[in-house]
Amino acid sequence: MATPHRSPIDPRKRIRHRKSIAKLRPDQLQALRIGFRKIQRLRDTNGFWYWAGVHGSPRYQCHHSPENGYDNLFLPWHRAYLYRLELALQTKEPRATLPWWDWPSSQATGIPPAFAAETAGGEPNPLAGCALPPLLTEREGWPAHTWRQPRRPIELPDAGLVRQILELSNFDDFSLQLEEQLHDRVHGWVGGTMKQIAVAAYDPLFWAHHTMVDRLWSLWQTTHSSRGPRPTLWRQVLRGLDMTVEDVLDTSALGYEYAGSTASRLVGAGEGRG
Amino acid sequence: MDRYTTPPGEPFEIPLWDGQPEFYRADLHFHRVEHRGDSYEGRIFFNAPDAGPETPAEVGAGYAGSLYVFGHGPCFGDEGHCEVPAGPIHPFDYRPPHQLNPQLRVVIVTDALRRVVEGGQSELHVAVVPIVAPGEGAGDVLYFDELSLVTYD
Repeated sequence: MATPHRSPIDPRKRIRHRKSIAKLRPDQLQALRIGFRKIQRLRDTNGFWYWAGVHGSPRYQCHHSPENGYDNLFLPWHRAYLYRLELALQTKEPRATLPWWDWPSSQATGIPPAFAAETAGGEPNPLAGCALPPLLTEREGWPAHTWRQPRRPIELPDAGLVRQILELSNFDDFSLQLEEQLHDRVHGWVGGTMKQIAVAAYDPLFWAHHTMVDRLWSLWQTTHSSRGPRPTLWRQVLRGLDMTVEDVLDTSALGYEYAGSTASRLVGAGEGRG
Repeated sequence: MDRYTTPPGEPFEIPLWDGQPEFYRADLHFHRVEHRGDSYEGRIFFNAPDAGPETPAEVGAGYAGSLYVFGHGPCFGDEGHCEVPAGPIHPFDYRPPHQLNPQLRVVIVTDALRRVVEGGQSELHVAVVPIVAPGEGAGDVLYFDELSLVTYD
């Protein structure tokens, strides 16, 4: 089991671990649900509607592939975006961390049960969906709530494809393939709200999907000498998020990582120093 | 459009050296792909002129890979909201590019192109069939300006 370990940047601080949704303990899943339930009720800048509206309608600040395919801020922008939503969650439920959805391991079952179940603990499951704000629902023909129309589970990306993309050594190449062949594909696979940029982030599953994307970038960083976009882009501001590319190159500087397990032992008195 | 095929009589020529593939990687570049509508999968077939929505996405049918596009969906704005401006309205307009600017899409097709060569063919006809939802046939969602075959030797 992963236990928080020390930040390499500031050893006084402990790093949080983002975990697979399939591996959350009951208390961790409960904390996630509490956090989502609380921010879904907020109408301020910690609110779920506010953050969902930064990606799509009405603010549209998100970064996806540009016209030239390169100078691509897709990964840095979404890392900062997850970080800001996670802080909003933790403002209301300090134990909550964003989990990731491992698509290949869902090839038999589809959407993870934690997000698919209609109810949890006798209440509506806040991870199953969310009401859409009046700004959207006042449009004729729009439902009041997010919805999904998933394709067959076997059509989710397999582990081989994920591995092939992780092996691409150039960051721009890696980022573009990750975005198109995995990210875009899974948005389309879920269907419904998730397959429309304007409203995708209103579905709570969006956040687990993007945490998986962020995890793959983090894994890629552990095996390649480059950390991300070319240095000329590092001072670029990520719009709507008040952070720069440089701010998000290292997840441990943001207080989290994706280690599957860590173990630490305290050094006893008289040991450890010669 | 609901289907793309390379123009008749204008196939791509596959780079060969002594009859062998002269590349270690091959990409298809889709230039200025529109993403203003529905999300879709564009199934790419090589030398399969009759490929359609019912053609299985299998190697034996010429399937070479898929282009995935995450579309914007319906417009929630007012009049002119979805019109992509030609550029800044004046030199002091520092707003970011319009969200509906077309995008480049790159699909790696190395293995599929090698199979074409191993099958004794030196020309490549490409068909792209967009699928919006399984079982609903092709959708009128596929718009791009140009398709390039890019190989690296």
